[in-house]
Amino acid sequence: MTEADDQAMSQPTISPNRETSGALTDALAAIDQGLEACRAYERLDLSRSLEAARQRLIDPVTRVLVTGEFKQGKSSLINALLNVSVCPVDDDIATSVPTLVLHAKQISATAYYEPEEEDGDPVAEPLDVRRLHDYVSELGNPRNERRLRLVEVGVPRRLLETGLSFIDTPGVGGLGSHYGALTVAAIPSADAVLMVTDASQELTEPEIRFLRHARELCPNAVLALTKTDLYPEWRRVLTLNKEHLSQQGFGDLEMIPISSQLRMHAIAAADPELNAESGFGHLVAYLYHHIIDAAENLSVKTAANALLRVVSHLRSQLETERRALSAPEQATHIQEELAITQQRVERLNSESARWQTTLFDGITDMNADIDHDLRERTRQVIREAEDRIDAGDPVDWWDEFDTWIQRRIAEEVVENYALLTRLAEALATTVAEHFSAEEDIEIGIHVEAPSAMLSDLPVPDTEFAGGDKGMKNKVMGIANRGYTGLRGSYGGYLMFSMIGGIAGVGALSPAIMGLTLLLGRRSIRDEKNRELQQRRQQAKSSVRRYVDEINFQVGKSCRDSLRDVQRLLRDGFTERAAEIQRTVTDTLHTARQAAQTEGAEREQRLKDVDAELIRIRSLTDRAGALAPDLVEGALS
Amino acid sequence: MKGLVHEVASLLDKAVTLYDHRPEAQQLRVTRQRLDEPLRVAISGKVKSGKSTLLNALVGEVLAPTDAGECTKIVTWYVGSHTSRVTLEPSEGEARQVSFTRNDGAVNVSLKGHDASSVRRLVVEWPSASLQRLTLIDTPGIDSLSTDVSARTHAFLTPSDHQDTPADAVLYLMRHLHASDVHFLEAFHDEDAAQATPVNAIAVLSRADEIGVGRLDAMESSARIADRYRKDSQVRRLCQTVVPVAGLLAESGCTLLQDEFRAFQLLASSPAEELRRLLLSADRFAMLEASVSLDSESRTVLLHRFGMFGIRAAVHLLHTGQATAAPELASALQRLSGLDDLKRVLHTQFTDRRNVLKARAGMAALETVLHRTPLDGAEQLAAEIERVEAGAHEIAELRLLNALRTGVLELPDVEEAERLLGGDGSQAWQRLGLDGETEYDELTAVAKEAHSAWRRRAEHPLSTKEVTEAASVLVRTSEGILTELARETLPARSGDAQGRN
Repeated sequence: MTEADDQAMSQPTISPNRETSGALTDALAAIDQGLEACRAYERLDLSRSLEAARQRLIDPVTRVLVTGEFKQGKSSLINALLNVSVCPVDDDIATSVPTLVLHAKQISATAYYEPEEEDGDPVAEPLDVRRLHDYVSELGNPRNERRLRLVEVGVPRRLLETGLSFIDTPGVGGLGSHYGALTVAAIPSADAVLMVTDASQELTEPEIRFLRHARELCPNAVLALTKTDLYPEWRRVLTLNKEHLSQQGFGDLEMIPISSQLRMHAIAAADPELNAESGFGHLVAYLYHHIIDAAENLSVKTAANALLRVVSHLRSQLETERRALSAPEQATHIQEELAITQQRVERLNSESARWQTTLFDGITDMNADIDHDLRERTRQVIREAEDRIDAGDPVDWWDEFDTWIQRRIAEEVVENYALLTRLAEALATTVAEHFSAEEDIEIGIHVEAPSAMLSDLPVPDTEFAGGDKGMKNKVMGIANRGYTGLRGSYGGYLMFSMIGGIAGVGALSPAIMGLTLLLGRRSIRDEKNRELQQRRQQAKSSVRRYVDEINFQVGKSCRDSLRDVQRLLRDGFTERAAEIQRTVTDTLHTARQAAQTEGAEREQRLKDVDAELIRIRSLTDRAGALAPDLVEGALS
Repeated sequence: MKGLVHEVASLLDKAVTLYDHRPEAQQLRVTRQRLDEPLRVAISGKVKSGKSTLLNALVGEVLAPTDAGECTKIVTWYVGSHTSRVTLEPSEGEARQVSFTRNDGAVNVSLKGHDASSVRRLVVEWPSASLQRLTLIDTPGIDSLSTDVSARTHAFLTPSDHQDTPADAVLYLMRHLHASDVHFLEAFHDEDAAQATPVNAIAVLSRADEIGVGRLDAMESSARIADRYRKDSQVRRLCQTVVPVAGLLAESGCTLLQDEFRAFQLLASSPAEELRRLLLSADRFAMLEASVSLDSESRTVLLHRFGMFGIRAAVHLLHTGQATAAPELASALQRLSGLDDLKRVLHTQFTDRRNVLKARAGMAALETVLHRTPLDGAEQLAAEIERVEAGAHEIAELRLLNALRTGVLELPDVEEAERLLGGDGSQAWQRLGLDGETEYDELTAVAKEAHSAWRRRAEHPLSTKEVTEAASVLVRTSEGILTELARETLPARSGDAQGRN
């Protein structure tokens, strides 16, 4: 049993903060120094990304989405892990509302209701923890008729003080189901996915299909094989599952066998041996080493990356000044060079810049591609629907048909959504590359890996950064759309997570997924005295109207998403361009001043600049030490 | 009632003559022959829902191999016979007898040179009293990761080109209702009404003990769940009823050995603390070093046979004195497993109704042939089918029951109507919603009351045409019950309700 596990097991009450790791402290100190430098050089425009990185370091958020089919033991797992009974568990009744379990000083719960207006903020209301059952289970809240978006439960647990939180989701019920679509929509905003499957049988085809999608949207995934206490053959099932996984190309995924029952017994009896048998030690170790540590590493890297960028701005200015001071005969040449650079930087800012064109064209193309893809998919559904209608009498199975068509549509919309996310991420990478190529070759300020560029794009305060409030807005905000969180991560991921959060989630919103055939069962039955042919006609036109509505709604939501993606990228890179512009202007200014400085004053200034450069160098080294792999090539 | 089957049989004989020397003749002969055979019940469901285990429990003997991995890969028929032999029917080519071995009782067939995908079906003939009454068909699971296996089940249960569905009735095993379960059951509706309909499908909530994660009260929990499903309108439209069964316990319960009983006795007499430690998990039960007088190896065997729930239940039954000898324990476990309930439902829902179902399936198959290959004389046969169908009140009853179940028709007293039509069983007392011990006078009184109530409904000027028609069927049904009651001599009321024509 690991130490952490032991703590989680035997100290269920409030415990002191987990020892902050060395890297975190170092990163925080380095960031603070960087912020000081920004103030000293009056470059507050550069401090924004440092502030964001700082926020991540002091208030990390790591979200684990717990998913799986019905009744696999998702809620039990969370309860047993945290030794608390917050996720209602029942033989029959399943979870119907996603529950976010996070750290709090004392146990508390809040319900968030769907807003009255479409774009309004969700309505928060404190809940009695003992009555959670009435809110998040199918029994108290069948088909979520209370219109809850999310229930948030705070529990005082040491494991959660690391910023780790869990989202208990309703059973997937197949990729195409309503809940399936919502879960898929939430995946891109999670840091990790914990998929739960019980030891009663091998992984099934729908489970593997779900896993494939989940993996595409969130690479950090792990499986838990539950209920090992009940199934003598769980080792066989584990082996078989591993075979299935490697056949499907998921050989790298870990599968951890656990028993929530044994864990609960172990805690009740304070029996470490039993706890070891429960397998939770491995799960907790995995959470620490692969999820929490990974998230911390990302935060540290993000910090290092932001710092390196700030430092490179400051250094390039000082180095130019030094050149101008030490070689007065070159002063004119340097100033001419800078003037040319200045023009180029202006071009970087103009609408004809390559990255701007790439972005604009890319979004236009994507709009067309996504729309085409959606129509192609829904047309296929129409074809299948018509075949079904022609094969029988709609009167006999109209309700089943309604369920069927909704499921088929949901499946296709999920696929369409995955495509949108993929394309948006690819576009972001291309734009970043083009931006960085221009910045790099033409301006020569600083070399940086393209993926690193994305990480410290300024993030819109309201949703992505800021303190608790910002976080909450984010949780509740992105979308009428399910439950999303800040997927804190390094490099491209941060950007991608934003895109993931924005892209297409609206298309999977309950409002759209809830559309149904306009022709009710009753009305088709009223038609029953008419000719079968007429009934079929009626059914087909109803299907077409439904699909039209879907195309319209989903299409609109995709266009909106793409507009958001475009704005995010444009604003981000424009801001970067402005920073560069400011650096070049300042540099030109100092170069002119340097040219006018004479004699002893020049000597003194030269000494000062050298001293500054040493300071900058030491800050660079500090940042480099935080993320050695990041510095290679970038600082040579 | 036999009359209806006879009529259909003679229609089929005529059709065989009509289509002689044509490819359809063979199919018609098969259909004809089927009228004389026992009811065919297919056991289907998702992968690992416990189909083979349940099959063994119904036979009362371990015949179908069961395993933690996916096991049944070929559609396998279990047919009653005097001798035991296995025939393999490839998708192409001649059927041939194959050798088999028995592994812990289970019949293991060597496919010699045949890939599972090239085998259409296996037929296991076996001397068994249960199989004399029912032919059982084991199917591979749905949602298998080997898509081949899934596809074979679908092909078997929902044949594409209007072939006759080979099963008369379907036991659909589900674990907890999933989206794809409904999807699957709904596939039965694609075919014409004669195939799987709510009147010939029963849903089994299988591995019911696992829903309550093997706790002692697990079966009560699953009974509640089954009850909820039973009332669910979507489920009602798909099947007759929902029965919870703990398959493994059912299988082992009806094959309990004296040695196993002694092992349970040893366990039950162990110190309470030791026992508690053992029963915490499967791993512990099988492997823990414990001071109980049953060694680890014997415990492993017991675990495989009964599962954690079975062991906990058996120990509890012995502790509380509810079972003191092997036969008592065996029947208590069977009762607990839900097998008894399932058998009863099978008896009331299928066995009683089998002749109607068979006649109806026969007519549907014949209609398909007549429709597809309209030879001279086909039209006349079709007219005869219509006549037989119109004259057969049982079919009208079944059709009405179906319409009520699927919600195509709505009646105010739908529950009473369904019961009267034989929804809960076809005995007079079942139809009247009374218990089996009810006296003749009361039965008659209730039947008369039903009769006049439905007559009023039928004659009511404001009733719609559909309601009038439905009420007329129910009037005739109540008349039938009254005739049957009058014919019977008291107190024996075992006469088959179907015999009242």
